Amino acid sequence: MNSFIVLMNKEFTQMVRDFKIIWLPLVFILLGITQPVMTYYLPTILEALGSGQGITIDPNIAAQQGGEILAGTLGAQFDQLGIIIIAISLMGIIQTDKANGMLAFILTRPVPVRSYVGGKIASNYIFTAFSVAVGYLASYLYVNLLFTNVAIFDMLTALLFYLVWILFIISFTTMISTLINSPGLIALISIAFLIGCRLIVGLSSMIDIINPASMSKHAMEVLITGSVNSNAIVNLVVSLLCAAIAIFITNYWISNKKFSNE
Amino acid sequence: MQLHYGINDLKDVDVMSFLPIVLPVILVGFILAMVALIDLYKNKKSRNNVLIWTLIIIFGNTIGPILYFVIGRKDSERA
Amino acid sequence: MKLEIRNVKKTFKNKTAVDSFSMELQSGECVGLIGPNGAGKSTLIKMIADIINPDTGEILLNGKRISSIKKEIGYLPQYPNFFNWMTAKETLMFMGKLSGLSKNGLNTAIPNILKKVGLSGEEDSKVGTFSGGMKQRLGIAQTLLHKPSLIIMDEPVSALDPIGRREVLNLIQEIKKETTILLSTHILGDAQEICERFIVIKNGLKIEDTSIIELLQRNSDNKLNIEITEKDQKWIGTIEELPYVKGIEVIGNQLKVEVENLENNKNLLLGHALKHDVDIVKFEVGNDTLEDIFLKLVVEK
Repeated sequence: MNSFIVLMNKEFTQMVRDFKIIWLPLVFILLGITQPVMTYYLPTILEALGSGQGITIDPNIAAQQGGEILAGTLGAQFDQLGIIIIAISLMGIIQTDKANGMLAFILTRPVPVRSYVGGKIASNYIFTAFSVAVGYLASYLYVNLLFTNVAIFDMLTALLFYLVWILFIISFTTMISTLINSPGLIALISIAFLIGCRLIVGLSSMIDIINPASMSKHAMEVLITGSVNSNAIVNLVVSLLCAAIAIFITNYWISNKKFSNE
Repeated sequence: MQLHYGINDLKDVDVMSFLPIVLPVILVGFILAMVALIDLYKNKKSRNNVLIWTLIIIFGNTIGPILYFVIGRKDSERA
Repeated sequence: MKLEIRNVKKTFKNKTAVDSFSMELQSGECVGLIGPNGAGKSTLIKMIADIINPDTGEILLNGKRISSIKKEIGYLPQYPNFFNWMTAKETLMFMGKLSGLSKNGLNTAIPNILKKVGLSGEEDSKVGTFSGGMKQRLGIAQTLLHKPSLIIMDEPVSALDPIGRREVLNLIQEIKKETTILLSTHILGDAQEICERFIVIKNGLKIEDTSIIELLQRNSDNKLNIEITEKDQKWIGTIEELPYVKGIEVIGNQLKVEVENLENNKNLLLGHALKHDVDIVKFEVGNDTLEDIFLKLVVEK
């Protein structure tokens, strides 16, 4: 337990030294603001680009519901650029330690593997979840300012659902970072798989049950309809299970010293 | 709602309502770029392609600094 | 403290890195594991440090498996990297806490240890700015921090320049008084300088386990190395006839003369040379150097 805290502290210190503590929240704030601002100015921008005189804008666009815009932030910004940025920023989470020998070195100390993996996942999840939440709140403020208000309860429920999906994103990227040695390939596989998961949501109800990306869809549904899908709780449990499996595989791989086979 | 703006009208309409909303966006982008530049110049000895990164950060607005943070900082660890 | 390695074997994809290796190590010893590149030294060291698992066999420290008493070992990797963004003090703090030491204890121990390894003024410098020798010394500081009963070093000096090597060798000389050391190297001079006992390993097999004195004695034969100048080449012909000379090997101006009995014959030969007014550049008892012995062991066997 003690070494878990030491390793977690080390991760946080590293984030501060790397400025990650500044830039990741800022990036998510930018992503969060983009959707409401873009949607708000879209008619004007279209107008300007079209340079046509007297185009009639469909009034429904301007009068979109706030919830839809906030859902758009999750679906169009966080689930695309957001995933890419998280995956790239985490591609070296274990790989760097493997490559420079620090992983082996740390494990020559009396450190249980679960402390090492746990410290990595916990610190990076707490921080990434914080960044996503900050960006999401910024988006929420803008939506309330520019469009109709979103109920606070819906906003929080959706955030909770979305953060479960984020947990899976982080566990999965950590697992890939453990299994594979090339940082580029880690990013590529993680991004392709995670965005793939997100894209197939809704195609088949069977797959949706085991797809952690469904949590993102449930979050968006809460924002748009104001009610929780009946499958959401099942999905939540399954998603947590998926994350646990990814963490377990990471732990197993490191425990069995598969990383140091030369 | 009927909008009948011409391209010339755009400026008149927007400036007032535009600024308070867009200013934070610009500000955040600016801070991001500054942090990236400060980091780059503090570590310029251990970074590759300092000049190219400077250009990317300044001209690749918002995407530039992000690229620098996720990819550009890795250079030093290869040592 | 007692380290036992029993019949350890490790295979990587068809290539056997270490094969049925056994040895014992007692408290206070300083043992050099020597062998050519690729002999399996690093693999063996990594198995002792519990970084990789042996396929068969076991490694016991005080009768227990290493993985259960990691606190008792200090490990120095071949290229201690650490985290470049940490300072020297933070690195030791981090590694110390992972070894289960308290913060207060570390606060007092770290300055002492840094002083010992000669990094006193550098506690707040980033490890990324350190030279190879400094990193190695910091690595040694890290192994000493939790006062382990066994220190394992993987090629501690092989990657360093002459200055760094000197620094680190002196440091190891210093610390070997207090603890047990097992180190691997392919540079014999280094091993000769700090270790009393050698284990020669080749192709994963232990081919020699002996002390330096024994090794030198066993390999000494009755030979004298003599170097003379050009003008005295004729003298070589005259000594060939001497009764106690059994053979001569000539390489340029250098001769290797094999005699019947070194003790008695070396002065006779020297006298003979002086009588013939030979201009002697060098006259020595021709013990094989450790390097010769090593080459013989490794190449011939």
